[in-house]
Amino acid sequence: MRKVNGWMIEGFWLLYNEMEKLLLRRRVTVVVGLLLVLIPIFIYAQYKQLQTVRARLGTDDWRLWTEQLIVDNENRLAASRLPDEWRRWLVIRNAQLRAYLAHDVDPNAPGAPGFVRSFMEAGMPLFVPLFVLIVGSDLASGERTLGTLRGLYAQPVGRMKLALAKIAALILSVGSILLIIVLVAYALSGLVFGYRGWTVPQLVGFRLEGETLDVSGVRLVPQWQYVLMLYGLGWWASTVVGLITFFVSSLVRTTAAGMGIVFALLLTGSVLSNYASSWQAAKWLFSTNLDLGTFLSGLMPPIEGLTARFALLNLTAWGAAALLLSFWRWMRQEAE
Amino acid sequence: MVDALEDAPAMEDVLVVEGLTKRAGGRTLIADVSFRIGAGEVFALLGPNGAGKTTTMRAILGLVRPTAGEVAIAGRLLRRERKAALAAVGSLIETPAVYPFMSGWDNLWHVARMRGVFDAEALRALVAQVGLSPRIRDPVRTYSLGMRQRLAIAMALVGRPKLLVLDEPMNGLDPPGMLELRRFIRRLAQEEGLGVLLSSHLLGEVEAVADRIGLMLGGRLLWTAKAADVRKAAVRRFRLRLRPAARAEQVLKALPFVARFERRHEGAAAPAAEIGDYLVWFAEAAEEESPDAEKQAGRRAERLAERQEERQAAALVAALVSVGVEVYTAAPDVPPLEELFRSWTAASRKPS
Repeated sequence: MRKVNGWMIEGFWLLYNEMEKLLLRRRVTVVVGLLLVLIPIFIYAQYKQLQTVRARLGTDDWRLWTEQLIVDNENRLAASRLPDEWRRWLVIRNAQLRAYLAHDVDPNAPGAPGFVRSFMEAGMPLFVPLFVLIVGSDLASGERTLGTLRGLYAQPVGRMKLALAKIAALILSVGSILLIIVLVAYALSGLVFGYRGWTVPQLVGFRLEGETLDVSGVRLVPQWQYVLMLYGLGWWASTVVGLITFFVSSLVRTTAAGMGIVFALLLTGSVLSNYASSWQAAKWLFSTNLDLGTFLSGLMPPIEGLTARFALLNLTAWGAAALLLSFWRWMRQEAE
Repeated sequence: MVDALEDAPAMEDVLVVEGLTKRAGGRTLIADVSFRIGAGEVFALLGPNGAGKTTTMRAILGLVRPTAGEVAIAGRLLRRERKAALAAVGSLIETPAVYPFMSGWDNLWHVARMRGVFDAEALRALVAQVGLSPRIRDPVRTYSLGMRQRLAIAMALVGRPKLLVLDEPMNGLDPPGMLELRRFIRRLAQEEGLGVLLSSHLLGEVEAVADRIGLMLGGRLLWTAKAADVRKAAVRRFRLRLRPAARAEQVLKALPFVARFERRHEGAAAPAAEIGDYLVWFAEAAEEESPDAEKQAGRRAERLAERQEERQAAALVAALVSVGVEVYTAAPDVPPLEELFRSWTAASRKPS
């Protein structure tokens, strides 16, 4: 038989194998199915909310809306029994809305691109990582359960390369999932909100300084650029979740256990940022750092004192550690 | 310990195992296992469950790291040249490791890509060789166990390895399936010069396919011998159920080719005292009965021995019937491993 050698070629075919298994297991199909069911629900929810606001304010002029929103927030601030966090959030939100007014930009300009953006903003800390979990959780433990791990290990292929191929396949599918999210969200929400709006300007460059929002560095970027940056951040957050998922999957014997562990970690992060956002030590956990979108939009970070630089570095450190530990595990373990 | 070199054939060794030892969690799984397999030779590891057969095979495939000892496949040391060594071996360990959600054909390509084989024609030939051609495009989850087994063997043969490692390959196969697999293994060894290492806990499964047999007990390879010798030492035993017992015993005592016999008592069968269950050992054949046996290599001699045994069995039954003994059962009997081991060592001059 003809034999073909070479590191690149070998790596390519290993990746091909892993992608084939991943696709034939229909994990990506499950994710696409979920998106097709869930996105219309979100679209309808946003449509209903828009209608409610319109009915309440009785106008279509976005400037009047925004001004009314600022007044509403200030009225709420005047109420004395507001928790500290809420108070801060409202102050910052108002500063932001004023900046939008000053730049003559509608913060909630309707359109499919706006929906694509808000879907990722809402989904980055929990929803999108969940998709990664669906795709990646049996990448290693599945081979163990099927008894195919020894089949892989008995082949004349380095174990490190096997692990690398699996990780590459996972990263590739994370990218594909984000791409699918953009396509499905855009295609479906366009039916309701219209397909235009990629060039609508958006504000970036808010800087949070203690209690106040520094708007001196605010710049205008078109919506498509904003979406690109947002999905870039989402891709990085999801990739880190993918690396951690792969490591846990390499450790445990069953897929269910691995899925449970990573899901618990994700939920812990989400619970901590919702109920204990002033406990600063929580920022060291990777799952409280996943909501990178807040640094772009200039809203309150999920945990007090969390900065964009810290969150990115922390996530990267978690990802690198998971990667190294995965390699160690794959080199060391004996196949049963 | 047994000197593995002594039995080794003069052909090129495709597998050399030297002093292989594996300790894990305070237990010794295998200790000082040494043997060799030549090209075109079928070697069977025989032993009860937990004897260390699978651990030995796993160590040969690099799935477990041995505590001590060396493995060389096709002249390449597994420890130093893992990739080259593993490229020369195809394996099937325990259950067939196939992906049920893929088709047989995709499973085959999965292995082919890892082995750097990109030859659809060769793969098709392999599929035909294991007789899976009509079903190869179907998902493996629809396959029977026998079909999975055949697919796994085709996968093990991708890239024309020099050594084939099969762990309990007869497990779960029906008798026709076993026969077919035996023939297939013999053909691979004879026609393609493949060295084959297989394991089993039943002598009956491997005696017809193996050239040499190694007995494993408690993690040690106690003995290796030619399959034909094993047969001579142990398989020449016959099981009889007949009536009446007293008259039969007189006949058995009188027959020259009956070496010894013993009555077996299974439960208190008082009312059926007339019925007797016997184990009969035949005497070894005289040299002149098969004058050319010496010149012929293993297989032929074995077949002659088989024929001779059958003749002896026929004569035995005829003698019994001629004096009015009713024979209900007459069948060759494969002794349990422990007994085999005893008779085996007794029949041999070599110390264990």
